[in-house]
Amino acid sequence: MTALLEVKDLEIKFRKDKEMISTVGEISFAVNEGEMLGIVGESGCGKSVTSLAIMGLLPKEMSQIGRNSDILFNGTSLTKLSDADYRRVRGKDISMIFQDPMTSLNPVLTIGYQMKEMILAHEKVSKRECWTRSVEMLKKVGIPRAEQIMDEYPHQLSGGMRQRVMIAIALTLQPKLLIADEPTTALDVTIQAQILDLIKEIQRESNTAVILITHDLGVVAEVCDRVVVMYAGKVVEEAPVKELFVDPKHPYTKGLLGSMPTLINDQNRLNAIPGSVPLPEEMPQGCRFAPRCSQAMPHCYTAEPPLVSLGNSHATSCWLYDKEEQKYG
Amino acid sequence: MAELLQVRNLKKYYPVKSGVLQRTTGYVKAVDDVSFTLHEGESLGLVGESGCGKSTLGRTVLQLIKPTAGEVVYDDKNLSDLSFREMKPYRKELQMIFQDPYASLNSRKKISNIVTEPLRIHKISTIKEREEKMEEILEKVGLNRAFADRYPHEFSGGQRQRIGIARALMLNPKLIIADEPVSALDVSIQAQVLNLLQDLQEEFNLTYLFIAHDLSVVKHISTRVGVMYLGRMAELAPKNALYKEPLHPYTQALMSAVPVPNPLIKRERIILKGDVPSPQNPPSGCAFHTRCSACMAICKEQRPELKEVQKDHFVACHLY
Repeated sequence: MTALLEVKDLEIKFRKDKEMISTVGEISFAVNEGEMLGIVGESGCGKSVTSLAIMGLLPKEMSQIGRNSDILFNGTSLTKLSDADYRRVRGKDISMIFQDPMTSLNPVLTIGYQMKEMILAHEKVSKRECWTRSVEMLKKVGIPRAEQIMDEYPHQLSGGMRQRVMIAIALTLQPKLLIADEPTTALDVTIQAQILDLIKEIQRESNTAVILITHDLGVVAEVCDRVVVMYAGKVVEEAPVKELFVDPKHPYTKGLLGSMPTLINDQNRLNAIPGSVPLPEEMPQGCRFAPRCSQAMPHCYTAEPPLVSLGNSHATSCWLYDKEEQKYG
Repeated sequence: MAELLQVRNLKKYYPVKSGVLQRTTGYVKAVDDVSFTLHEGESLGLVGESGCGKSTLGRTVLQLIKPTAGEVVYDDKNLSDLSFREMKPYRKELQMIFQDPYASLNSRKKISNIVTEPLRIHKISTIKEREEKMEEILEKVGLNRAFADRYPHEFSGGQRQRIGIARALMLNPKLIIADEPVSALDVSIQAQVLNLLQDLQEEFNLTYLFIAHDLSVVKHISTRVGVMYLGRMAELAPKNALYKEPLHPYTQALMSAVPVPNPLIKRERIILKGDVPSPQNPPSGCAFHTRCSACMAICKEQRPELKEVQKDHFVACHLY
């Protein structure tokens, strides 16, 4: 498999007062063609900001991408694109669906208009063709009476239906990469199961690569091929999905798995991770997880751990697995 | 276990008004004929999807919303008959923790003010004693006593939820109704708060009515679980019985829809078709029949009653 998207040393800074504060610190990962990559992490870990950076949707006046950062899509660098060129990529090559389908659809425009908008922004086609393609797409995502829904407004649909419409819009032009930012967080479990099934099915059928951003490890286990775990703006672990759940390496990943109540296991107490995520302006020196880590060594507080490869495309950023460190330690 | 509180045929209907004259044209049946008993020291979990009436049920039990019909019996008194003034002494024993830790704390008040307010309202103890009590409780919920002089915005979500819990504990309540207390929190913080709730239950012998949409969280904290669908109780059973062998088709579908964080376990998924029907116009007969895979002719006509199928295991379904 070849890498479709490569994120290299991506650093994102946000303005606070007059300073620029780094929220995402030099992360790298890649998405292969037709693969479903999960990015998990708690709120504030930088997972959504990363996806916005890939889409080129970060607010210019408030934020800045690091000088050495690069995002390569099919070999072309996205960070150097002009606004007009970026617009040609967005929606056609890379598409995105958001968490809340109510706020991401325009409430005063019909579903049909919003579907049409996507097609007409990129292609010169007749109104009739536009309409038939839209209806076809709506049917594909499992919307009953698609023809009527073209003339309806978002408020007339339920949450699950709205998310289906969002998916339909995002996929009309058959993008190569779909970024789904918490697509099921606002939905009930039974509806979540429907939507996840739909995304998985479409991904298999059209070989679209998907980046699924979520805080729910259960969702990741269910649908993803590979997982990137983020903590406080850093990638702490990266592994194929089975490896990650069977043999997690980083203390944070272990902690996260231990703090989740599950339907299968019976546990009397949850292994909560003490403390809370540090604020971006108060990032600790060295490993950002060290203050909450039960296995922290003195070294962890001073130097940032490198990404250590453990083979099998499993990598983690922790001093515990650094060979040289082990020798001295 | 002794019975602490009984809910009998509780109903809450909201009128729907339309037209120029604003005549009542129908009712949204948020809670429709729900009965259950809370035993001392247990945690009863209530699960269901959004709009199933679980929050309304929690609030009607506390009389924060007056029920349309039905009884809430506590201490041999029917709470829904009491006036606001008569209700006041009972509020001391029945407390609530709210979902959103950002909206449930007054942002203009100091923590000390927020936490001691219940004591002031009920005119209990002197100022000094209140302070002492506050410090004791703050420590119990894992907050530094120096935090008392700060304002809510200075705290993270998890800490705010602890403040909300501290406030609920100030009056030594017997029953705490926790309405989605952890759904706004991250997983690692959620685990901290769940552990805290368990510790407090042991220490103060609290009874919980725990309302949540997350089946795994409810399983973790509850001793008994009730599943609600469209304002009605679909199934009510001890935790282990319910999670091992769910009887109601809706409970089965709900369980199978929950993603499990273990990619090695492949389960048969039951994927429900369609959405939850509108509570304003619920389907005839069994409210679930439109999405049920085991639907029979009788399901469309007759509403199933909650029956005891196995010991302590109640189901409202014609299959049993």
